[in-house]
Amino acid sequence: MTDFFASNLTLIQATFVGFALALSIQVPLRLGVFSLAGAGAFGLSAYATALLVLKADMPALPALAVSVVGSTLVVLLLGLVVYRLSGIYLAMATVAFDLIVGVVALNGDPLTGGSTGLYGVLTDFDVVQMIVLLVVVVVVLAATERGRTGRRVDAVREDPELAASLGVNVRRYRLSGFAAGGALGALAGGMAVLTRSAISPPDVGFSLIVLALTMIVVGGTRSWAGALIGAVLFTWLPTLLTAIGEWQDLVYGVIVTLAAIFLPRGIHGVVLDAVRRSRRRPPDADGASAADGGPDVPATEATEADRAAEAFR
Amino acid sequence: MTTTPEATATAPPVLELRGVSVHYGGVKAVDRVSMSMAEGKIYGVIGPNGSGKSTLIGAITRLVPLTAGELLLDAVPYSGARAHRLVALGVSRTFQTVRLIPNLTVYENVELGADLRRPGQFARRVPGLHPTREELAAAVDRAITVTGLDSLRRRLPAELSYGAQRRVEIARAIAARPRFLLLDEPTAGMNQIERHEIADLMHRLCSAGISQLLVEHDVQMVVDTTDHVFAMTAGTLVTEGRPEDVIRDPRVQEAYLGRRWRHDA
Repeated sequence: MTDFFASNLTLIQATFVGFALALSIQVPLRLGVFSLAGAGAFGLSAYATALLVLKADMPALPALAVSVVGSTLVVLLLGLVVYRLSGIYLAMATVAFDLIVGVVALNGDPLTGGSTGLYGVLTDFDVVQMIVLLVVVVVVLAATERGRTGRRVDAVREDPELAASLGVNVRRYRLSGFAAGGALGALAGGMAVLTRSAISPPDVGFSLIVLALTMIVVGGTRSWAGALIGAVLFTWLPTLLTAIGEWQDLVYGVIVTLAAIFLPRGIHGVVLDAVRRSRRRPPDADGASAADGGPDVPATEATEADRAAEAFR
Repeated sequence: MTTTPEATATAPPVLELRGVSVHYGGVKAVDRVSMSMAEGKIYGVIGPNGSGKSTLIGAITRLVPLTAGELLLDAVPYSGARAHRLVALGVSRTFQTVRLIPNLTVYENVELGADLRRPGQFARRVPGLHPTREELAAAVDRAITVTGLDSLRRRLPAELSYGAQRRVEIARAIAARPRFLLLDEPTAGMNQIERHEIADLMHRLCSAGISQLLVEHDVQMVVDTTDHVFAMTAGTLVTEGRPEDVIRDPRVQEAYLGRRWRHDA
């Protein structure tokens, strides 16, 4: 086990970075916000973390924290500007943001190192710290997938107008999702540079968006577990597929296409449906499920009227 | 249902509209409509398709921005309130089409209605608005029982009949424990028996103290259910009064009933 761990350390670290990156697109999407700004935050935070370590001699975790907070604020400002956009238009605006980050990285020579990028970012950051950070993220996200918050998130995504009529502050939820996407992207970017010790313009380019979308389309869009499944799959698959050489891209494409067509809710959705089906009793005949929840009084006018009268006073 | 017009006029209004207009460019969807609605009554809005009935509900619930006019709840203006504040003020609504969250069960969809936001600045005006978890669960249970959905609470919306889906919508609205309920064509697409059930439910909710505004183009349903009717055509209020008087009004007959009355009755 430890042998496996040591010899695959790079892949394990890449899996965790990919997981956070996938979440950065998935979390806003759960609120119906198609924001790809997480990829831009990845770049911002990666460069910021590298600079803080190299130029300001900051330790890994404080540098990461400052970068994540700063990048999240930038994304939140972007969110306030593009708030009125939705769907594909919002996606385009955020892609523009991502491209701007890439251009700045390439041309900000004295600071960003131009096309060579920044290297030698050596710190004591390790996988254990990474795991702790991601566990905190997962605990927070899992709480937003259940109960009252989970229902409200679903309502904001499925029908914002209905959500508002039920008392949900839709604007606040959507902006929170937008900012959370930025924070998660920034976390991924910071962790990426701390584990790889280098960052250059190709690392913060358009391929980040493709990778993150691929992970959540195949893994699942509704839960953090889907993002994790996608991250594991698409970090390890290329290594497993090296044997087939140039056919690798084709297999990749086929997997994504098949998932998009046959697994609209990703692998996670399939697992969830299977669990639900096995747990559930066969559907009862109408009105025969008195044991279901509380007493099932026959719907006679008198009793229902009595209950209605007492129910609302 | 035995209410006299005088009683309606003297009771203090819960919900009041003063010169409410909603214009889209040159189209006057709702134009200078004033209404006054008292506690414990069922009101109806009739009018042909496109007469502005649904827009009016949208305006009252702040989902549709006002062009002009004022909205008052207990004589306090709320024309500037954002839509999500309305539930906390005690105003709930249903929509013309079924709008349930597909991945949530019947119970969870109704729970969504009870997930009240903390009311903040309006808390003083509506007592009991910091409900405990138990109170919320009880409100959900009652809403489900009242609408006759007990045996369906664990089903997903797609597994329900159309009539049952509509009842879930009503259950969700009353789980918020409103004082005023706005129903946008709750019986559209239902058969006669189901319509009777909804009318009966409305009466029971009314006797439990929930005032209601029913938007409906089935005149028979409005006559059978409401205490007071507003008739609209082309965005304006034509007349109002007791249902049996309103439907005899020649202006209403001309605008609306002439085409539909025999067919629907």
